[in-house]
Amino acid sequence: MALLTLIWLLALGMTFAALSWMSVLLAMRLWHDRRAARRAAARKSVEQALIALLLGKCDLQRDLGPFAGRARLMSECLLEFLSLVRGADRTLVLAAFDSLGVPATLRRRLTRGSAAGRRACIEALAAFPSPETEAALRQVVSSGAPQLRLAALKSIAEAGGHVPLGRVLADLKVGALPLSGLSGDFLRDRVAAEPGEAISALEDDLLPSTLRVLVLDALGSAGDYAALDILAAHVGAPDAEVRAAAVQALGRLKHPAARPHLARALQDPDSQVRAAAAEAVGDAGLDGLADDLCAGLEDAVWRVRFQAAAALRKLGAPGLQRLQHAAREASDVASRAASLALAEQGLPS
Amino acid sequence: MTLHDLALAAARFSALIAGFVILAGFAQNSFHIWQLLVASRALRRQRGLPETSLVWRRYAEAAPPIALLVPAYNEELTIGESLRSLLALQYPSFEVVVVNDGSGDGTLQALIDTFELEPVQRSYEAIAPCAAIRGLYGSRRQPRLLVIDKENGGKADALNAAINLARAPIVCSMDADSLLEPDALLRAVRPFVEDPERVVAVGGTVRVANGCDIRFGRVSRVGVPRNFLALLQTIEYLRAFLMARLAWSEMGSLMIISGAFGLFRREAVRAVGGYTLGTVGEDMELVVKIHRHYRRERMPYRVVFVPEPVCWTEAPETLQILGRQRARWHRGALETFSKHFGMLFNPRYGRVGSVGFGYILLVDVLGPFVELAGYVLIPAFWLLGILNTEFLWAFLAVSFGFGVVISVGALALEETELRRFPDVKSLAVLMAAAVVENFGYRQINNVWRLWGAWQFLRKQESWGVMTRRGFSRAAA
Repeated sequence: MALLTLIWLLALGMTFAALSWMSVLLAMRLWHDRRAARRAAARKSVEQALIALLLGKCDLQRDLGPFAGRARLMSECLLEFLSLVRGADRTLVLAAFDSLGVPATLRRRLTRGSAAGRRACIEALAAFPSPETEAALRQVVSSGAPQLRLAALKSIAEAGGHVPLGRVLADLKVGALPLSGLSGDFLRDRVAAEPGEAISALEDDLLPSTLRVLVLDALGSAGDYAALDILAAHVGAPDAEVRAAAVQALGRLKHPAARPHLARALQDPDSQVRAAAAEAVGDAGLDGLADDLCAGLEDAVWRVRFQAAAALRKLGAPGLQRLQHAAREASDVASRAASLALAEQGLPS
Repeated sequence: MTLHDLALAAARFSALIAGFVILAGFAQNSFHIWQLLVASRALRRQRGLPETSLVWRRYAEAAPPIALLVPAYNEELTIGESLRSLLALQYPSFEVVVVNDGSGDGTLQALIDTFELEPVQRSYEAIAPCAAIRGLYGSRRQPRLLVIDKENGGKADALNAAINLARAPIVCSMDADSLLEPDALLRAVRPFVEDPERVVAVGGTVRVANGCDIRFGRVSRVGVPRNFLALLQTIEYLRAFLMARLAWSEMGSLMIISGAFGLFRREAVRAVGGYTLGTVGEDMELVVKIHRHYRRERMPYRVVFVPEPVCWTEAPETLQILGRQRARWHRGALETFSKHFGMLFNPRYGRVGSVGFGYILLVDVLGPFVELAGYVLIPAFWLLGILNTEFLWAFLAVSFGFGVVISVGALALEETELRRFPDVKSLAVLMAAAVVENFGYRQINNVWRLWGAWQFLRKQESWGVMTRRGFSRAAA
């Protein structure tokens, strides 16, 4: 075949492909518009049925029964509705779904269909605790994609199942769970449930720094004073991010015994740690360190000065007096930091 | 040398030029088809976007605070409505930092009157250069709002001022007239939540708002532009965002995040000293600086693109204004390229230096001149009788065929994965536009790019007047 003919065939082939593609898209749109309208109507029907249920005017089989087999629709409607109702209303809705066999439908959907649909079903199943639900969710944990595994672990925990912290950390370590803000949140919940396990995990020298920071942060939020020693030990860690996380956690723990450790951290060579220490002193309300904070107003790094001034403000009267004094008497840098901290609160220097 | 020798040499030269143009065109079109496939795979991975309530349920707890940076210059008439819409965004923790960049009209007074602003003070660290700040204003009614009044310095300068004052770990740069989706921040912040260790910047999809119904600073109904130029730009934006940027993001070489909407980790912006002043392509330049910094420091990082439509903007409706805009964009790309020329094919910068900068070299730097050579030489060869017109028509047909397939492909991505256009009629109109834009519009674009290259060579620095018609807002 001549080159010229080939080129023309290529051109015509592409034009034909584009035209066919366009025709298919138009046909699909017609089909999809009808499907979307049906979906919207079904969603509206489910929502209206749920409202009727709360008003005692719902015939379950007639109003909700036709949709009971549609896993994604039911899970999304349920999640949305459960974010609006509490107490007896919530119990009523869940009982209605249970009586229609929705949990079984959701469990079946965990292994097929789109990831978005599976994820919605995983999340909705948290509302139906049972051995079958836990088994189905554990199946996802053992074989699903990282995002779905995390969602499944969350649902197991929400449904009252046991999710050992060690397992979560091990999965995060090898990448079986995503190291994300969402897993950080989940870790916080797990640590709050098992602070003792978190303390043991921190004693493991092989725990990576990233996970160590997350566990320290979670321990601070958990508020268990038993964590004081391990947090204090981490104030001397070689990694600055770990030290900063330990210091912040000590601040959130609000225990007076943290004072010497925070005083040490205020002198840390890393400015990130010094700033975190200043913030922690303010969070913990340790007015015995007010003079150390005043020294922070002279720091060479703006963030440390800013946090020291903010912490003094948080300390109340003793801090404000020192700020006013610094605004009048201290060096230019400290005076400006103090004046601005006062001005932000609408207070005179 | 005889006349025959001369004719032979000219024929060989024309064959050489033709071969180069054909090869370059084929390579570029093949690359675009490949981008289409990459973008399609990425979109399929995210198929079935959840509704806002579900996104909130999943991400709100972990979502970091964001500072929206809004530079305003002579926006007296629209700034109040724009800000009300921004302050009503669905996001757990955010502040809006508005910069009155030395407006000559009553922008500041309009802000003071609308939000009952009072002078305030705020401690801040100057991490990026900016013109003198005249005052700060806050509102008791809107604690999320901070207004900076400063000397005029241009958009980059205004954004730098806002970055200095912002306290949130994530900053979102935007235009004062960008229209955001109510859940834009929640959707765009997802990469920061899902990969907090590495993600340093996120670009969002910008769509053409012409033809849409606008109510209270929001797009209330998506429509197709009635203006022909805006219609062609709708296809162009789909191709640029849904296809090209998504594919570049997948390749780890996204070089530009639109100035109309982009999220950055403040620490990353701080590390590169903020926006560079005195550039016209400050948005692209910032992203390149971020790439350069993290690659040089060998730190793991990602610059990501989210395909979900988060921002709407008004497209120019006249050739004159569109031409100015495109020339300016091209000038910006050339400025960035020349400023960071050392990254080109430098192994230290990995794919960014090889593929990203290589593409800019071929398409943005050399492309217009190759086109120009084509416009001059092809008629000349034809006049000299040394051009095989049969082949010329065949290659032109292939070139248009590629163009139509790529445009229809971009529209197909939108239609199969996002489906934001309301009905079959809109889709049919857009498909017609996807075909028509290949006959004239693309060629005019090349002329504008040449104009931009000429301005760059002459070191012209002005922005030119960017007259916006304003959104036709539905009656409240």
